[in-house]
Amino acid sequence: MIELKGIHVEFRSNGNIISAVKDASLKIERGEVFGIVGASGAGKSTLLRTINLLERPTGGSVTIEGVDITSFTGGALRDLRLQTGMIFQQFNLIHTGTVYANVAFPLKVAGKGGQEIARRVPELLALVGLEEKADAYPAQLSGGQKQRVGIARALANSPRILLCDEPTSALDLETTASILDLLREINQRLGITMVIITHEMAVVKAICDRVAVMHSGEIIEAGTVYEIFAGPRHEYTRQLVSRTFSLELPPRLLGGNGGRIVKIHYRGGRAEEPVISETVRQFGVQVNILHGQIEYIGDNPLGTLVAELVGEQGQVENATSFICRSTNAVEVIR
Amino acid sequence: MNDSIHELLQDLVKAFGETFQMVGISLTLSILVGIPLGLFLFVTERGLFLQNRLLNAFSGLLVNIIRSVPFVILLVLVLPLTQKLVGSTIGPGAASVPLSIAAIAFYARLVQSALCEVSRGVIEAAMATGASPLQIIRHVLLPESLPGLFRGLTVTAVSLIGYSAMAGIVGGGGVGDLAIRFGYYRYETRIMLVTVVLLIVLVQVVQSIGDRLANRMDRK
Repeated sequence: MIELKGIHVEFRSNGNIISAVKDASLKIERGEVFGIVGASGAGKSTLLRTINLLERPTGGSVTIEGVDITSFTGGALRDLRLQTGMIFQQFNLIHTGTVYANVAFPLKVAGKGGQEIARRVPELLALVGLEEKADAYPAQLSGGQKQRVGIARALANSPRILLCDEPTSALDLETTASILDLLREINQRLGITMVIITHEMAVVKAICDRVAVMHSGEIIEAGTVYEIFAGPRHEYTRQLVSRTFSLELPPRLLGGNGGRIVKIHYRGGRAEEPVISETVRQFGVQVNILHGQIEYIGDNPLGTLVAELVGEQGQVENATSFICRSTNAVEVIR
Repeated sequence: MNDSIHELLQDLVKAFGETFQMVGISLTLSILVGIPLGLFLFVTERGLFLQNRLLNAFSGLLVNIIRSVPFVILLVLVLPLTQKLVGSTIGPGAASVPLSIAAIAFYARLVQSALCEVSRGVIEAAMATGASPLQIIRHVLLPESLPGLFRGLTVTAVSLIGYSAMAGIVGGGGVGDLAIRFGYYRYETRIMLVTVVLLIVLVQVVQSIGDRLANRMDRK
């Protein structure tokens, strides 16, 4: 659907050339929700903007449904943008226009007639749950409502692609969840391909099918969300993921002279297997669970458990290797 | 006594008429020419959708030249042009030529700075919908900057009332000219004070109408 090949974007600033994006390549499939995650300044916004040519790449090519759009100008560029919606962190609504006027704007741009606009706008407002607010001005809306207007505006011309630039970063947690739900629903109902930029792994986990990780202008890793969470390869990705799974034990527990402490990582179906109860039954050791967390990404569980094994030296040893064999991922902490 | 009051009243009515004529003509022209010029200065800036550094620098320079010439000098400098356009160099019509030139340049800069207040994000969002430059100007830039455009127009009107006093030099007349003629040349302090008070009232009225309109349009 969308293919970025060897994208470079360079800026000139005070005579220096700054590379915002370096040799980035991606393939985004039709109908998927694709995340691009990274710190601010990693170049993810710039990369996103090459898809509708708000940013023209200085190297590489952008292909959408087999058509190379990199050098589009004039009417072709306009048509491309009509078929590509975009929403923004700061919503970017026209303050002096009502909700209705904001949603009607892209329809006017597309040359739609008054009747069609009058039919389409209420439809779009219903889709985002803002039927009542047609005559309100943006200043009278909450952040979440503003983003809903942004979404309605972006969907006005029934685009194939929706580009989302940090769509929830200006929103509180609860509103974030409702906006993400709405985006997911739109993705499933309308089959729109979505590209979402975010610095929050929670957003990736909540809505994305696949994700690319960007770090100082480069794509360092890409894969399904589960792959990235379960087996981050790059150091930067590991940091990102570990922030989601922060299992810090209080020093008191680590300092005492109790039994052996192990950290067990569950991947995939194994999270549901009764490894712990097996261990207790087979080796006669006591298992104290000190800390644990299981996340579900899609349908797949992903978890970490910190447990203390108490018992005879030999039995603890056997138990450890049993857990190790069953789960493939055990760290002995003490 | 009665006669002199009657005479003063007549003078004042005539002077106000002349002031309104000069300010009206120049203000109309600054809307008609100053807004497009300010828009042009803005959209040709770096990073905007009609970026053109050469044209931007050229028009900016032109505006700056006009703005840096003291108004009294401008008045004299454009006399040949005034003669050609109005067919005379005397009277409120003639004075409107230099006043308009100064007001257009002045207002163009105010228009430009009002447009700078429009968030780049909103412009970008409009570009992302595929809007053409003209559509962005019509549906985004102008409505979003309307309060600022009105505030700028108020400032321009007030400045014009001040500038029009100097138009007396070319026989333009007006309230300011009346104050100078009676108060300064003839030492008739009373008449000068009356005209000054009337000018203050005029400026106050213009300013408060402008503020009220701008605030009503502001939706932020």
